Amino acid sequence: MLARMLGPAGAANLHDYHIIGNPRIDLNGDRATATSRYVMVMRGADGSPVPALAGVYHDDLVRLHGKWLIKRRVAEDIMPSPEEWHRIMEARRAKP
Amino acid sequence: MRRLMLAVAMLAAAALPEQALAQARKPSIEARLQRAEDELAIRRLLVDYATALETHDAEAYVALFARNGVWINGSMVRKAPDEIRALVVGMFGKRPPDFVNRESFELVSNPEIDLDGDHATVRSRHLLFRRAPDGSPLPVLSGQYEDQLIREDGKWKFLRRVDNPIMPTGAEWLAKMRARAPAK
Repeated sequence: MLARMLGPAGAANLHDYHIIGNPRIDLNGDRATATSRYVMVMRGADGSPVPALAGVYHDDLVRLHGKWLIKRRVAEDIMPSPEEWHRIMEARRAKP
Repeated sequence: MRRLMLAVAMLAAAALPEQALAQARKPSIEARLQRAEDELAIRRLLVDYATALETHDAEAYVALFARNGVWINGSMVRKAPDEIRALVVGMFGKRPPDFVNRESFELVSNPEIDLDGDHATVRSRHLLFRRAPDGSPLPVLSGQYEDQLIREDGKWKFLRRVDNPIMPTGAEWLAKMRARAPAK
């Protein structure tokens, strides 16, 4: 999934990035649940940064061999909704 | 099968001293607290940099750099306090004493901090907003900082800060700035 989405490893990404914020972490020994917010910023037509997608991550985390890893991550798109996002991407792909 | 079980048992036995070693190697509470304090101080440094930019405070800005500090953006390189001060004074102009910035602000995010004693390697993001004609916040520039930090006189400072403009690119940004500048 990622290889198809991200392209070659190590290439500089000048087109988008995620701002992450508002971490809320509930610890329970070697497990944790967390939510956080993301805003994906994409390069606009004139090169300026445009907030394109905002949502909430819902995570189940686990400590394995002393390292915290994501066991389950649900990305809940809020603005736009997944349906709206799908329409935006379709429209973008349709452009020559 | 039996051989496999034996191998598993041997592996488990071999893992035990490894665990004990890991326990013995665990850093002291003092060392762990120091790391936590260092990371907090570095997060603060990243925010202080944005604040100095927002408030057009050249002296506060310069004070965030080490004595041999270097600031780099593309082909622009500024070394040591005098050159760095000249850069920001040129950018900010003269600041009135009651200056309040209502035109721009910087959002810093995504700090990745790798500590190594009195040195650290840090990456973070920033997003510059400007006030749009209707007063709403308009994202105009995003970039990534790549920093080498040093603890100097007990304080974390930028030994080398590379500012990589991403959206727009450095060349696009310069063109926009030239277009904004009043004709001379």
